[in-house]
Amino acid sequence: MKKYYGIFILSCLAVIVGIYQSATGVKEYTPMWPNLPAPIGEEPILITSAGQGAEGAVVHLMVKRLNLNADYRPRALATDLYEYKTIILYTGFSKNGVNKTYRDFQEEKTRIRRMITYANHNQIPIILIHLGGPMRDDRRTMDLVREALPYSNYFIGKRNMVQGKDILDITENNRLPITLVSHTKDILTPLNSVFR
Amino acid sequence: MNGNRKNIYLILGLIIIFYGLSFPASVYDWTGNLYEMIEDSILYNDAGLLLKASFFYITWNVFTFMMIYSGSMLMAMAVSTDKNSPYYQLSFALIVLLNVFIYNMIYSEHESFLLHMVISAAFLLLQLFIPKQPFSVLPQLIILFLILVSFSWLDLSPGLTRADLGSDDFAASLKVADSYLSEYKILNNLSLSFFFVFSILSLIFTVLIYLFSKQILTIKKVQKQEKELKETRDALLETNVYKEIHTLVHDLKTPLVTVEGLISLLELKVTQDEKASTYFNKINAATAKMKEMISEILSEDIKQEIGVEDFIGYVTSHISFDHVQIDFNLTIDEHVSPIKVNKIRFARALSNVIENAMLSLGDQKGYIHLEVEGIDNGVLFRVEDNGPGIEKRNMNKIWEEGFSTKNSSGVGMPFVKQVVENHQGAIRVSSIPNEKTTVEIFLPY
Repeated sequence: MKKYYGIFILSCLAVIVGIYQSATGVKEYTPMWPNLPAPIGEEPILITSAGQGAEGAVVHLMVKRLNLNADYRPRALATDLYEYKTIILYTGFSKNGVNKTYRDFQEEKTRIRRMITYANHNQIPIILIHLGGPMRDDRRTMDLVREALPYSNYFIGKRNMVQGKDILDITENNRLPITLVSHTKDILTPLNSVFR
Repeated sequence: MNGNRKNIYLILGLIIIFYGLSFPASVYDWTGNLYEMIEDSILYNDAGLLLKASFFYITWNVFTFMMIYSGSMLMAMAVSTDKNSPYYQLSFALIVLLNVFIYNMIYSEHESFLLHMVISAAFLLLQLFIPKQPFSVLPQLIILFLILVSFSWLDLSPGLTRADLGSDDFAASLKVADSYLSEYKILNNLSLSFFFVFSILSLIFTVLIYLFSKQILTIKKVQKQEKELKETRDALLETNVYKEIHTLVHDLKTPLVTVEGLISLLELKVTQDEKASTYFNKINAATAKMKEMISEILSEDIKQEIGVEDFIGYVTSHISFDHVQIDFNLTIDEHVSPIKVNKIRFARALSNVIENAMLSLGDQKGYIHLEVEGIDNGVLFRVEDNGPGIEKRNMNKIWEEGFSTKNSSGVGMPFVKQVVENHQGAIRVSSIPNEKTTVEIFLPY
């Protein structure tokens, strides 16, 4: 029996951690919009990244499907914003994506901060999209969300996020409209409502 | 387990873990391509590319953690080599989790601790069924590989994301891509299928190895029993031979008594012849000597007092030193008192020691020094030679019956020890291979 002691302790520990991981976070959010009641954005649109996650390609395709005039520039700088009337900022920190830009996390954060400052100063609406949901709610991604969300005009995200309570608090405190979807393709409707 | 082996396991484990932790950094270019592959699968709506990226991810993941886990296994073996011990099991899990933490720190990753706890527990459980045998490391590594492949696929299961599985960059990117391409259908089916296939493979492999090891163990057990049976048979045979010799020696007494009686009758008849009288005296002395020898052979406890020089003379008279290559040197302390021994048996014991020295020299040139000196409360017999000597690993085996490096019976030294101990003495052997070997026998007064 003694030979099973170590495995038993380890298994109990794994079960406790598993239950804790599954139980944390807010699963349902009540005060949310199915889509915006009136458009807030105009074309041309800049789609850019906060964290260089691969989900940018998904947002780009969604925007294309809606036949919107948009440029997909994940590494755009504040100086590039002068020609756009709306910014779609998607969050999701990817270590490999950031490595490809030859920047580090802090530089990426600074880039976002400058873009937000410029956009706010020039009254360019920011639409924040967080497609990763529970897959991308690590510490760094949440840092980027906290950086951008208070200065955004609309948030589209996914349900069942572990860090969902934090996002909900920020949107409530800043009186931001928020839409959470279950499936990735469901963002088409709220995204369309931003422009039409 | 000695300290040296522990250190080897520790160092080897650290080296392998170091390679495991530095592997992702050494393949940055390759993983850059993997990232592009995931992006392209979304942009070109290509599920095939997503599958390819998934296989690449699993390969990369398994390779990295295979090294981390095998290194952790070696390091845990430095704590305890007993796989059944909770110390080994908990050390292994702790080292693995510590390395996952270091990995997350170095690469800003989000590897799931829960997944690695489950992998560790599964591996430790299957490891219990692999008996300790030579080359058992290889099946253990194969089992580890199969478990890692199976659980790495769980990293890609979208349904387990809530339990913090597959939150690392590539797994998250692949799942995001799949959420757009097929609403998780591809990865859900793929990850669960591969998880079950590789889990079953690891179970089947463990069962096969377990049965194979059992078979080997049974064969070894049978071989051991056969060896023991043979040894018992030999011992029985030996006892019977000794019994027969004993009976034969005992039977010598009867004709000897007859000879003694008849000689005394003859002596009565032939009283005038002076020459015959001398012969009779010699015959009587010889028969008395023979009776004495028979008695000493039959009973270990019969001891007689004898001068050391006479005793050594008796011993050396039985050994031929015609071997020209051996320089035999004898030194006897003048002030040694006579000793009380069973002459036949003690002389045989000392002869054995000298003959062993001669045997070790073989045809080579060398010396044998026999030194007798009186010390406080006894006599010390020292036999020294410069033959090849006894290796350290064999030093304890020389007292075992049947042990010999010269194809002899292997009963010589155990017999010497038994005789010395019967005389309340002590024996000590020391050897510096290829320099000198010394056998010291102490006999108390």
